[in-house]
Amino acid sequence: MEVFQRLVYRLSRLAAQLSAALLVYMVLHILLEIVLRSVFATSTFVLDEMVGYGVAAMTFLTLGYAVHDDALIRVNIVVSRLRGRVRICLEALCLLMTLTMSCFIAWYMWIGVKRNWDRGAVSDSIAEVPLWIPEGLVLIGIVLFSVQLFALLVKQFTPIEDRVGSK
Amino acid sequence: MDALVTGLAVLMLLFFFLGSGTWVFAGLLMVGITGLALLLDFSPDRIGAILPKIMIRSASSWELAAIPMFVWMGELIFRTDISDRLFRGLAPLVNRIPGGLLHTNVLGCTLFAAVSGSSAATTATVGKITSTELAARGYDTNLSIGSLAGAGSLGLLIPPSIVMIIYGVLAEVSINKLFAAGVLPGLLIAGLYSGYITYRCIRSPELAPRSQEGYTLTQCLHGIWLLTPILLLVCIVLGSIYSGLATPSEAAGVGVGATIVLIIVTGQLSWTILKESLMGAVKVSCMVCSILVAAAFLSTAMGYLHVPQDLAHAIGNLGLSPYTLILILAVFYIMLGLFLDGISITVMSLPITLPLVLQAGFDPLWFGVFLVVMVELGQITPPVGFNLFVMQNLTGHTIGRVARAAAPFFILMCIAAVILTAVPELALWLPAQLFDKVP
Repeated sequence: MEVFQRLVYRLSRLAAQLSAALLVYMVLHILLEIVLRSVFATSTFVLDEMVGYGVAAMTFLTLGYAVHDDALIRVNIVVSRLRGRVRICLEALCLLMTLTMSCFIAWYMWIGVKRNWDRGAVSDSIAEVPLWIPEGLVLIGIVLFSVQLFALLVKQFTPIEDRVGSK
Repeated sequence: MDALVTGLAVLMLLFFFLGSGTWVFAGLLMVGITGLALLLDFSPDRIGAILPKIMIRSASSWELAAIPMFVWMGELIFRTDISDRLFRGLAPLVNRIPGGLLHTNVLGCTLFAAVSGSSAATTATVGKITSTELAARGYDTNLSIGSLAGAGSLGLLIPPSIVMIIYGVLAEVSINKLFAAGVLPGLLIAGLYSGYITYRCIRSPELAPRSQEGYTLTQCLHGIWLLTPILLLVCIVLGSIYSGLATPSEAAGVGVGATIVLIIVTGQLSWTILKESLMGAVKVSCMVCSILVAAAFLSTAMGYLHVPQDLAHAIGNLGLSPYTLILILAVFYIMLGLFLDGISITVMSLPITLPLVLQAGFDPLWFGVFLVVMVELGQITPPVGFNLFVMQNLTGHTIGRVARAAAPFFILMCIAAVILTAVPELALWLPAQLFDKVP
């Protein structure tokens, strides 16, 4: 089980590193655009579109990594006051609800991506980017997020056995 | 009556999902999904057709791109000596004022807000440095947390500001004028905060330990020298906007570029700093952007449920005098601010409140500033307040404790809103001087 946990985390981190690369790319593209515009009076013409895809992919690809590292905020008034089993149950409930929701989103997003793939839909800019590419990245992010949530859910239940056993 | 029932039902859902401790972005999505399913009998297929589309569309917006870049810039500043210099440079300057280093919270946030577009980034960056330093020197925890949460929200009022960009786009007001309009009210609020800290520390000196370090004039001058990197970045970011070199969103990219050049010049660039700042930035911006994406879906769901429209119509039908209208709007925004973040509030309410306000004879530029102050109030009210979350992350205290510490600063900002309403020139004077020169 520990191997599974570690593998999932490594995948989440890999996706986050991809996000980091996307962020570097976005900054470079903006700087290139400014230089082109102010010095050469021209443009790459696709800045807002590409940067838009970048932000979307970044946000979703990082979700799994962020949830594992506790970087996503939550209202912990109730949870912080609970102890022991009750707390574990509530944490598990949160994970389960979020997991259900992210699977729901992933499923319908998959339908959309597949449709774009089948029809060969492209964006209506001069870049004509096949829409399944940016949407696929978002989908990968959601799927990884679901897998990471599942791993965390499993983790919630493993230590309780240990604790009972050790006592 | 129906609107009231729907509104209450949505409130209950919010309390349940957020209260149970789910991540805020997931909770907001769940409220939207269950709201549509339970209150409007939407089938899963229908929700599934709307939800991913809105999520992808709102996540791919160009305005959102400013967030990860400003956050990255903040992370870079935090990991190099620029942030350290901010604290060391301000310390000798504020040391003699009662309250001492507590003022570095307010001044540091004000300065940092001028290079950053987001209040969460401001609070997190300044807070990471000052909260440990202040605690180590025995300053009162409540006052230091409160002033930080309060001053951190100045990031929205002092340009560049993401909420102002959004308001400008929606209300068709010049973003550059809006940026200019926010400066004086921002300084007013910073002044009120510093005044309050001074007053509290004169009344009860134990809140701020007398520092043993006396600073000479040379040290003060050295302090100003230490502040040059951050001042330089302020000039570059704002200068690139006002010279027309970059749009407000692009200015974030320029800011990152300038920061990296500055780090290279001072010989601090290393692979570790680059890697850590990037990984930190993607995490923080994932947190912020995922909530914005969820809020976009929630506001669409609320739109289907007619919640904002019905509420605003109810207000519009009352036939109020301008000042009563503003008062009611203020209460309305503070209520919304309890549960929603600033950008969702702006996007959701503006289509209805803006015509009401314009009809009553208020300047759209002024209302922009007023709205941002209202949104800032929302940042420091529980249960959903961005700055409270950031402070909770930073200090490890519960959100209730952080909210109590921030309460006096909430009241001070309400006072600022009253002053702003009584003296609209506070917002309108500077843009008029800069942009409407009489030929």
